[in-house]
Amino acid sequence: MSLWVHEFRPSNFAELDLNERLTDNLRQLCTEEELPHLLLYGPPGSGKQTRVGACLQELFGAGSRRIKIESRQLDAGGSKKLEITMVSSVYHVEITPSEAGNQDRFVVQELLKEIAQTQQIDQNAKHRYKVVVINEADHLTREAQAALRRTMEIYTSNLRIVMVATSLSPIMEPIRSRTLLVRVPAPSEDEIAKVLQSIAAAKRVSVQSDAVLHKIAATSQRNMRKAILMLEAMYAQNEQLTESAVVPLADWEAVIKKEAFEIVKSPTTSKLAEVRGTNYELLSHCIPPQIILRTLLLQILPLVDAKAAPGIIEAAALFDHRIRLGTKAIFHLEAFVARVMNVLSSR
Amino acid sequence: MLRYRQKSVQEADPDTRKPFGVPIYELLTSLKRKAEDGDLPNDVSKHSGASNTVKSSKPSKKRRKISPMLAQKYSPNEFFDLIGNDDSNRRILKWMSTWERAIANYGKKGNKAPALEDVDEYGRPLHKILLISGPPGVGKTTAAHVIAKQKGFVPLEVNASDERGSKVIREKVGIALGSHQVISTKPVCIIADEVDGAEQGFVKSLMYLVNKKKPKKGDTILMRPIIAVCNNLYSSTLHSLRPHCEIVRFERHAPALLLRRLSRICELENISKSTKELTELATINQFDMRACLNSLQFDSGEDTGFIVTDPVLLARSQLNGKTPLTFSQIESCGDHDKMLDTLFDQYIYSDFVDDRVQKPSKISDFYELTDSRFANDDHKSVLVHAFGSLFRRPGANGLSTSISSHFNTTSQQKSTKNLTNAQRYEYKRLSESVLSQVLNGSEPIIRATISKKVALLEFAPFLTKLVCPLNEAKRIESVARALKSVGLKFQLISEEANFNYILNPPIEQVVVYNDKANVRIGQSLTRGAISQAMEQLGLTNSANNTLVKDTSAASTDSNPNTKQPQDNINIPSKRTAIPATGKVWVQFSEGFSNAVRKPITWNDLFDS
Repeated sequence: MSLWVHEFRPSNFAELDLNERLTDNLRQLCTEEELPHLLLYGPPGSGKQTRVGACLQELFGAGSRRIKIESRQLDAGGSKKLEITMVSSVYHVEITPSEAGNQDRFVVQELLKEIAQTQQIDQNAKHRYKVVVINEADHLTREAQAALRRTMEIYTSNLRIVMVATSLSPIMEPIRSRTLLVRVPAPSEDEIAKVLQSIAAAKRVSVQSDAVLHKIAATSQRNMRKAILMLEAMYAQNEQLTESAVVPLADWEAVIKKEAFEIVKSPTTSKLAEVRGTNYELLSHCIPPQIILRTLLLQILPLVDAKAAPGIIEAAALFDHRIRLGTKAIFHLEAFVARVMNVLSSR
Repeated sequence: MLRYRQKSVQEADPDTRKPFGVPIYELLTSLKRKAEDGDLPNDVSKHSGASNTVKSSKPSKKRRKISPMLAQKYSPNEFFDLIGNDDSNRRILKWMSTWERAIANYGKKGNKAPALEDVDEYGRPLHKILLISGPPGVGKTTAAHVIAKQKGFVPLEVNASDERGSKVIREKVGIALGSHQVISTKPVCIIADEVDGAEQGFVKSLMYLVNKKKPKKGDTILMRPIIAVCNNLYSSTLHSLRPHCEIVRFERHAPALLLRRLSRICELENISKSTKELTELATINQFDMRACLNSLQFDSGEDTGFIVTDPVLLARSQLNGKTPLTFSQIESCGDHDKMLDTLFDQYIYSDFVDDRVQKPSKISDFYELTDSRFANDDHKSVLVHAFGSLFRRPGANGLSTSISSHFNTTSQQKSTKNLTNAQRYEYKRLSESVLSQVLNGSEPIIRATISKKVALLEFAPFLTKLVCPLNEAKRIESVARALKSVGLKFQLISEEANFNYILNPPIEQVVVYNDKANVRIGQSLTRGAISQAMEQLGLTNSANNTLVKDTSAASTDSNPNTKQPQDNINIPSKRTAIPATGKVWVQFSEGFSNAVRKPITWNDLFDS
């Protein structure tokens, strides 16, 4: 009993009911003797990690669910130390190297090698290899990916790597060629609505019309996790889910939405100064600058003329690149806003 | 005044003195005596001046003759000279008092330490190290020194200039900590300055000193206080040290407080500065007292960023005969990053004609030059020029006015929108640490499925939306279970007679944007219900939900400005009533907003 997202999370292949074909293929893969390295990719909330969990369950049985969290200290060159949290069972280890930022190389080099060089302890284990799940693989730096590619080949007898990523493009070609690519598409709005309905039924939430469930699905941008969280928040706050019920938005999204509206409404220098304050606020609340830029773009686009859109999208691409290269995100966020205002007021 | 007071202490019969320090009664009587002479005891600013007026009574011909550094000359010498951070100062004082008592009682048989809840078997405070953190120039080191002296210790400072390898420390500090100084009979107090810059070995040896438990024969346990001072509390070197420390935060001084002290110093030093000038000085130096005094001394008043950038953005006609900067001048400035930051901060508030937002849009291309890993100083000076050529316009309003107006609004508003860069950075660090606290506190099965990013962008926002449900048993129970699964708890804190439930770890601070304090009060009923539901389920242990409440009506501790509600400490209720020798009214100024509502005796605070 916990959050609904966790309560209603499928734990094995039998419970997975979306993307049936994909599920069947994965199940097939797991029953065979040898498992290739996997790379699951797809938008957030589409069920990548759920499928990884199901795979592990299929491969090693219930033992894979007895997990513990430990934090490890690693040497990161010289006297530097970095700490990384890992989730592990006897059969698998789950790490998020991108939490180490630029030093993820050391996680891959030190930790992964260490895991790879030890054999499976459990003699009764179904498979001789251990599985390492790498979350947010698309955030791995180039160095880390380079460190990974050799490890993947040398230690195949002891180690299988399952990577989870949102986007495929930041992952370099050699790694892609060493893994089986599995695309996990986002569920459709109808599918989300159906899942929400079953949860609502199980929890005896009084839903007046299905329209509200569709509305949640649409607001969540086809993100299952978000949709279920939204449903729970709405349940807590409303007597009944009527058609007119307001779907809550995450605070940071609401802030950006308002910002986008202001930008389009009055593209002036004085407004630029106001927007700077908002951007600073978002950044100090730890929202990654790329996410701010992306969300801002997506919120601005529906508000502007179709003719202005290409210029704005181009600007977003440019400044996204610059944010990645640079260190002072606020410069580039503001530059983007200025460019958008320029485009809007020039016509 | 200060010297006078110390003299009076020395004259006093040594036998009547309390264990080591200057007894508070004597301070009080001397204060009283002084008060009768017409010097108000609670006007702190006059103290620092008093002795100096005597000294500078010789009429000096030169307008300003400043021999020692102002920052040293006017650094506070005793407790009453300290300004700002009153609650922090008092916490340090209290901590030191505990030590004083412990040291006095140590070794005396049959004289057991009073059984208070916050001391260990030897009467030492539970946290053996006091860690003071805060931005530079707010007086952390000064406060440590002053209070150590006040309590009768001899401060032994170990700072970055000393070698701080673990061996050296163990020998030097270890010996010092065990002994009294030869010259005087006072015990030593270690003040470790700038610990965040120290090597790991130093921190380790500190820990070693602290963790010595049962003494072997001939070995001693730590019986001397250690005060550590740092800027960045979240520095990785301090990671292991933090749990052993009593952490005291110093915040920037409130503008009014700082200005009063500054103008007093100006008066004493015959420096003529208007309040407006002083305000500007203070804002430019970001309310850093030391930096203010240094700028005052050398009459710079502007830091490099402004000296250079002001003319860049300012129109030629406004320069009052100064020529605009040449390329070489910009080059010679050296601090390009600071210049750029200032320019970026200010250009938008300067007055330029641009109705199509063209100029800010153009300048962005130059940013690319400077903010990439290939950027060097040449690129940066080019950018400064680009700014100059784009934004300079004859007849424009002076930038200085816009700066001061901008800064004035900054210092008044409290939202995260208008923080200085350093504060923003601090806030971000804090948010990050709260987030990882939440993540690590949640059940493993949940932790396994959430990455930091997902937690921040998706989980946390909706979690905080969960906690204000309709008041209905079914819903409340469901929310209680949900909160439990991610390890969140409600903590009841008292804020100016209102009781509020605040989530702990303070996740709301990370997720919620505008200050919703008012909403929170309205919700406290349901929050209380959730909290109860969690207890009834047997899911929380009651110890974590204790009422953190200030017993003294003065509520000396709950400073609403502190960002971490769990930092509130428990002041033990009034001790055995020692007949009060005199009641003192303390007047509080800005920076410490909980005004005194009833007379309290110093005994409550000093506990001597």
